[in-house]
Amino acid sequence: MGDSKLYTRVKASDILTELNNYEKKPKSSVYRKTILKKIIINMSVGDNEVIMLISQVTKILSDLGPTDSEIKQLCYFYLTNYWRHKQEETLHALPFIVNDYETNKKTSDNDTCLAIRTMASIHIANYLNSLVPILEESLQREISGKIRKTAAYAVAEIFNVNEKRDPESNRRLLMLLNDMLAEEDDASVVSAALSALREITDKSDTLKLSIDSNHAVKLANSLTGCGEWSQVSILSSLLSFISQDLKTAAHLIDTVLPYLQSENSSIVLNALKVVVYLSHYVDNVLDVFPVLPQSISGAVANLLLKPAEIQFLAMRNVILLLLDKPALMDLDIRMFFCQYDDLLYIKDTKLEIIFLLACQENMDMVLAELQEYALEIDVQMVRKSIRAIGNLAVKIDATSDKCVSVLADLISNSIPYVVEEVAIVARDILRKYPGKFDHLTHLLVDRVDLITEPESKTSIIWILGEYSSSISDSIYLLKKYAANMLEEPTETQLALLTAIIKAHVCQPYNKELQGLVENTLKDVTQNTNHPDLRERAYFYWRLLSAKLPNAIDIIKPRLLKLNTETDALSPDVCEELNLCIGTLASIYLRPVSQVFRHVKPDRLVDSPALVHQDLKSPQVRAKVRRSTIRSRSSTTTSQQLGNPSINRSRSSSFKLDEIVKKLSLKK
Amino acid sequence: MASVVYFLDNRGRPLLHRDYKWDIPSTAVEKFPILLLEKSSNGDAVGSLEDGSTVPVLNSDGVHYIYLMHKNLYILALTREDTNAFAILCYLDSLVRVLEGYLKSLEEESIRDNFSIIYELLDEMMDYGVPQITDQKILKEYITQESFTLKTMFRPSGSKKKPGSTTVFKERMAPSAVTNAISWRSSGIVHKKNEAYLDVVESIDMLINPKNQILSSEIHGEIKLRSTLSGMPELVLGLNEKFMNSCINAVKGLPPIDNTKKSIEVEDVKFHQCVRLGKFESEKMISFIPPDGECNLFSYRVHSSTLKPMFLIDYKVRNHSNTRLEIMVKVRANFKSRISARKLEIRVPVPRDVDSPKYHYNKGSLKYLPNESVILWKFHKIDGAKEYVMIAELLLPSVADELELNKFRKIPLNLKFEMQGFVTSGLQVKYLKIREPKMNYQSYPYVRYITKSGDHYEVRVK
Repeated sequence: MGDSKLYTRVKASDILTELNNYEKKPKSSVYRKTILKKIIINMSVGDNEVIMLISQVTKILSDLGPTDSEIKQLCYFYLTNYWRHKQEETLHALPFIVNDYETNKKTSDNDTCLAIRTMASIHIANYLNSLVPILEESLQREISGKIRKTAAYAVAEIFNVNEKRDPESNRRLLMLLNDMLAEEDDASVVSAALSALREITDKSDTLKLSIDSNHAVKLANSLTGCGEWSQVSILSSLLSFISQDLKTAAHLIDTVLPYLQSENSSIVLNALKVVVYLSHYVDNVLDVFPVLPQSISGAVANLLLKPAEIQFLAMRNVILLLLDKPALMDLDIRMFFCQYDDLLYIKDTKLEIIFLLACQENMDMVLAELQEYALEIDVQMVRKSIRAIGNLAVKIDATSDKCVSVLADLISNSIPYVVEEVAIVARDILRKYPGKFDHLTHLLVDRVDLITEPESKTSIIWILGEYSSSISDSIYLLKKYAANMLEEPTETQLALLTAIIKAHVCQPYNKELQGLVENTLKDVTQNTNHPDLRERAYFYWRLLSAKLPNAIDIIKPRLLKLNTETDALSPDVCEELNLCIGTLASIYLRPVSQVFRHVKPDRLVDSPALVHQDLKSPQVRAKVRRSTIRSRSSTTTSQQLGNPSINRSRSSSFKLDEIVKKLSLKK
Repeated sequence: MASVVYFLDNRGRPLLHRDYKWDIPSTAVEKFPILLLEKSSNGDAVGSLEDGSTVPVLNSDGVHYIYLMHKNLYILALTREDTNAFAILCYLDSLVRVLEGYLKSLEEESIRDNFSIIYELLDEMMDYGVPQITDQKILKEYITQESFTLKTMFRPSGSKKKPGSTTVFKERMAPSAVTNAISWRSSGIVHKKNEAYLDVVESIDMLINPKNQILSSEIHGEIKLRSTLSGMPELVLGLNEKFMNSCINAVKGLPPIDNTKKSIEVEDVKFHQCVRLGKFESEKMISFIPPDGECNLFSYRVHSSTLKPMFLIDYKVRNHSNTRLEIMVKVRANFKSRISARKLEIRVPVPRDVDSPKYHYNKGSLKYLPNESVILWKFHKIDGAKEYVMIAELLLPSVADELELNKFRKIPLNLKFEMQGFVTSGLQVKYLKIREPKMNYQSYPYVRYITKSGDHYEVRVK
C-alpha cells in the first residue's frame, strides 16, 4: 500500500496524543515516521494547524534523522516551510543540521547539499552565522562539483538577507562566485554560478553582470560538456555579453547554431534568443550565415511537435520574430495549418501566424484554408477566420479581389454569425477600396435582418450612413433602426445618429430623410440621459441650423486613407521584445515595463559592432551602419563584476498593446 | 526562475507543492481556478475547467501562472519575475515525464502514494527555482527511495533494496555522471549478452483532401538504439551516402543538392548528445558512446515531393430524411502488390448517439465506438493495390440535431497503419560497428525498418 491512506486532515491535538501514546511502545520509530508523514501531508494541502507541532518534529529529527534519510528530508522540508512562525523552536534544529553537514561533507554529496539547501532557506541570524563559513568552505575548488553548485545557489538565496546582516561576508561570497566564472573548469558549476550571479544582479541596483569576449567564447565552447539545464543557463547568460567586434559575434553564432537542433525545447529557444541578439552585432548577418533562416525554421518546425503548451509559447515567439525580423526565418506556412483537434488557443495563435505569413504568392492556399475554417462548426473559429480574411483583404491590395469573393461566397449561405462577422470586416474593406466592392455591400444589405450583435450592427450602420447614396434601401433601413434607437447600446446609438446626419448631408433635399433627422434629433435630445449622445445631437442640430455651406466637410469629411503600415511596431519596442524571446513578455507580447513595474527593460547596448539592419522584408538585405559611435559613459558609482560594460536604460512606455490588438484577431 | 511548483487536482486544489523562493503567498494558488475560468478564451465561462481553452500562461496581481495539464492534474509554477517562462514550461514537461517514469502513471492517487519520493525528486530536480537534472537515468541512480506503483504489492517505501549489487555501494552518492564529461553513461556496466538493436522508424503525417491530393505531408524519422553493451563501447553507424550527404547539408545549412529528382531533402537532423558532431561534419561518420539501454540516437524530418498517399479514400454519405444515414467508404492500398500494410485502422466519424449500425463490407472488421463517435474499420493486413468497400447504415436519434448532423462531416477520417521492411525517405543503414577498446567482446547488431502513420494521417471529406 502507498501513502494515500494518510491523506486525511488531522487535528494537531490528535497527532499529539497519538505521539504520546506511541512514545512508550516498542518500534515507536515506525509509528513516528507514519505520523511525520501525516504532518507533512497536512502541510502540503495547506492545513497550517500542524505548525504547532514544531517541537515534536525537531524531536523526531534528532531521534531518527541520523539513521533514516527520508525522515531527515521530510523534517527539513517542514522546517523550511514553518521557520518564519516559530523561530525560537527552529533554532533547536540548527546543531543537528550543522552536525549533519560536518559528518557528511566528505562522504555524501547528497546529504551535504541537502543540509546546505535547508540552511539557506531559513533566514534566521544564527542560521546565517553558521551557513556563511560553510558556504565559503564549499565554494573552494577542491570540493565536489555538486556541492559547489548547491552552494552557489545558496549564496543567491541568502544574499539580500545577509547584506543587511554582514555586508563584508557578502562581498567575500560574491568574489568567490565571480572567481568561479573565470577559473572554473566544470561547465555545470559555471552555469550555477552564472545563474546565482544573475539572480543577485537582477535584484540589485548597484551590481551588474557583464561578460567580456574571451569569457563569452569560453562559455560558448563549454556548452558541449554540460547537462541540458546548464546549457540553458549558459546560453541565456550570453545575453550579458556585448560584442565589440563582428568577428566574436559571428564566432559565437557559429558555436551556438547547432543547439537549435537540440532535443530540449528550452535549449532551442535560448539558442535562438542568443542568435537573434548577436545578429545585431553582425553586419549583413544573412550573407555571413545564409543558413540562418533554414536552421531557425527547422527549429520552429520541431517545436510544433511538442505538447500544446510548449507549442503555444513557441508560436508566440515566432510572432515576435515575424513582426520584426521575418527575414531570419523561412517558414512554410502549411506548418501552421490547424489540426482538427488543436486546442482553441493553439488555433488562435496559428491563425495569427497565418495572417502574418500570408502574401501574394501563397494567397490561394491561405484563402482555401481559411475558408475551410470558416465552414467549421465552432462559431469562434469561424468568426476569427472571417476576421483574418477581411484583414488580409485590407493588408494586401493585390489579393483583395480574391478575399472579397471568398467573403461573398461565405455570406451567401446566410448563416447569422457569418453575416455579422463579414459586416464587421466589410467596413474596413470598403474604406480601403472605395467603390470597388459595392456588390459586397448589397449582399450585406440584403441580409441585414440577420445582424443582431452590437458591433456588427454598428458597422453596418456606419456603412449605411457612409454610402447611403449608393444603397437604395439605406433610408428605409436607417429609419427602421431609428425606430428602436433608444433600446440599443450607446455605441450603436452614436453610430446611428451620425449615420443619419451623414445620409442627410449627402441628400439634403430628400424629404424622408429630413423628417428622420428631425425626429431623431428631437428624440435623442429629449429622451436620452447619456451626455455624449445628447451633446452630439445638439452639436449636429446647431451645425445644421447654421446652414453652413461647408457643413458636409465637417460631418462627412473625406475619409483618411486606411493606413496598414501602422501595424508595424516601433523600432524601440521591437528591439526590446527581441531580447525577450522565451520570457513572459514574449508571451504577453508586451514590453517588460508594462508587465513588470520594477524590472529594468533590456536594450541593445551600443558597441562599435552594433549595426541596424533591415531584416523586415524577406528579400531586401539593406543595412545602415550607425553613423556615430557614442562613447560610453561609465557609471562609476556602481560596482562592476567581470568587465565593465553594461548600461541599461529605461525606455518609455509604448502603445504596443493597441498595435497587437489590431494584429490579433478578436479575442 | 520558478518560485514554487504545485501539483493540483482537477478542481485546482493543491495536492502537494515545493516552494523554492518563498516570495509568493499561498493565496495566489487559491486564485488559480478562478483565473482559469475568467481567462478562458471560450467566451461562455460556464464550461468546466478541463476544456483546455485557457492559455498556459496567466497573470494576476503581479504573479505569473505557468501551467500544463496532465490527465486530471494541473502542474503549475508560479513566478514574479520576467523570467525564462519557456524554460519553466519545458521543465514542467520534463518533470511530468520523470514522474511518469517513477510512478508508471502520474495521477492524483499515485501522487498521494508517493508524496515523499516526489519531494525528494523535486528537491533534486530544481535548486532555488533553477532546473538542475531532468534526466531519468541519472536521477534514478541516486534517488534511493522506491516508488509505490499502483500495481505492485507492498514494499516499505524506505527500503533500499535495489536489483543488482553494483548500485548498493553508490547509495546516496551522486553518480559521477552528474558532473562527468560523459554524463549519459556510467562506467563499469557489465552485461552477459552484448547486443544492439537499431530501429529505423518513420512516421508519416499527411493531410489529404477529398480529391486524394496531398495538402501537406511530412516524414518524421527516428533511429532508436536499444543496447546492452558492457564497458564504454565505441559505436560507428554507417548510412547510405545519399542520405548522409543530405544530412550534412542540413546540418551545415547548405541548400539541398538538387541535381537529380531523386535526391533526398532532409531537415532538422538531431542527434542524441552522445554523437560526436565534429566527426559527423568532418568525416561523415556517426560515432558515439551510447547510453546504456534505450535512446533516440538520431531524428530527422524529410520533405518528400514524390511521396504519394498510401491509401486512396473514397467517401460518400447519404442522409435519408434525417432518420437514417448511409456512409460509404472505399479504400485502395496505393502501393505495390508485393508490399502489405498491417494494423490498418480507419476511423470514420459519425454523429453522436447513432443507433443500431448495420454494416456491409468485404474485408476487415467494423465496430462502432460510441465514446469517440466513430466507426472503426480495422484490417489485420491489407495487400498493395487491393480495394475494399464498406457501407454503414446508421439510425439517427429521433430528435435529430441539425448541428450534429453537420458537425461530424467536418471531422477528417483518421488512418493508422504500420509497414515493415522499408522506409520511405530512402535512408539505409549500411553498418553498425561496435568496439570496446578494453574488453574486446563479440557483439551483435540488429536492424529493423518500420514505416507507420503519425498522429495526423488524415483525410478530409466533403
